[in-house]
Amino acid sequence: MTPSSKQNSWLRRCRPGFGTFVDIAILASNQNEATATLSKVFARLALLENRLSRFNPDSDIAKVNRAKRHATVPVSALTFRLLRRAANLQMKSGKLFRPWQQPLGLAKKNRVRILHGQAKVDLGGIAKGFAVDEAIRLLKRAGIGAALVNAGGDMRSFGPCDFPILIRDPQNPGKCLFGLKLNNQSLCNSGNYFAPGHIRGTRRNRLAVLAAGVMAPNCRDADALTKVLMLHGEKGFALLRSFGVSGYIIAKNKTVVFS
Amino acid sequence: MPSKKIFATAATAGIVISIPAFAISYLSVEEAQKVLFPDAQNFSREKIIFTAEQKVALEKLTGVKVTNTAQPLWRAFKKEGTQEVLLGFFIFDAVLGKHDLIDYAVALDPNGAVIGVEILNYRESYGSEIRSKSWRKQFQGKTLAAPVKLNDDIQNIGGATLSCRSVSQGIRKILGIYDTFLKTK
Repeated sequence: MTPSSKQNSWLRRCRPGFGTFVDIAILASNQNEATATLSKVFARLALLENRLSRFNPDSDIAKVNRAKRHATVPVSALTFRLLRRAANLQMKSGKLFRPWQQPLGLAKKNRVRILHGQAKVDLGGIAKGFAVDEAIRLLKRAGIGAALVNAGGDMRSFGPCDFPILIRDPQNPGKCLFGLKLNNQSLCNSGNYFAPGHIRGTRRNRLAVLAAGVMAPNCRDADALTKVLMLHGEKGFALLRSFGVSGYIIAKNKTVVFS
Repeated sequence: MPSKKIFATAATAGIVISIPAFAISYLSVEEAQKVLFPDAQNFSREKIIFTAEQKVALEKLTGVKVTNTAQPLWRAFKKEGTQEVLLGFFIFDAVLGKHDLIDYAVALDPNGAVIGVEILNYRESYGSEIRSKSWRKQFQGKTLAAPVKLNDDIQNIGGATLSCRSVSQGIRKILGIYDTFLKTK
């Protein structure tokens, strides 16, 4: 089965977003329709970024971060869903994945209660992964046959083809360490080499590896689980197994270990 | 349908493949104009040349280092009856990314609000030779099974998040250019 006929061709666009570059490649037969679809997808991503970025003072997350103790903040349904999922991943990972510093009350629908002090929520990576999932969902709904969405290392593909991906060498990002093929899956790769310090361990939990990656059905969970591998190294593979997903770590001696 | 599993092709740490130059061309200037101003019928090109004082003022206003001495831009027009209506400005610029220049375009409406930003060309270069051509060859032909080749090189590189800070700064500079030169008083 090949996705391409004579008229089909790849269309690829890139826009800045989520603090990185969002690159979308789609296979389409009608160039004008495909261009319009891509514009719609990018518009949706811009909306998500407005809701979920802690840097945008009008976003739901910024509102939560400004709120004082015991305050209740109304948030949009999608922000709430993502916070709920993040809370779930936080619990399952034994707080290794921790996108906020103070506990949040998420019992009431679309309401966030600040339980202690300022929550300092930063959905960063998981929001980016969620946005990739959203982009894929919209592209599928628009009838696109195959696509690859890559938001700065959080990527997901669909369609009847393999997408070759090279993984950077964390100690020498100009070079690649190994290759993977992506087929109807998500791949998130984390490392500290381009944005040092964006993944922080605690005093008890320093970064265990140079870089880590997770392959999962959706990008949102893959991104969160990558952070667990970064902090926990090979010990994190057990959690990956419980989610039924696979991953790899690039250890400090540069050996690649697959789960 | 191939298996849904991802498999590693060369997972040994001993093999290190360098990417001498990684470049993606997303859109040409004309294509980007169409994407950002789909209703425009006419683009008129002009060039703003900065004097030394203007450059300093622009840097002071935006807090961004201005490396260019001139800024090309297009005014996008739409015909309405016999009149031409200004839809906005299309500004093409390049900024230094992590390793090399990133070409991008910003569309502004007549009031200076950003309509959209598109990356036109993305490059990274390292200048080292390819150590294992045969290894990379295994990807060729298999890629995407499409009639149009996206790039000559491997198309997707996974790694840590690349920051788009330089593009954000570039956009700030362009908004400063709008304020200084294009705003109708």
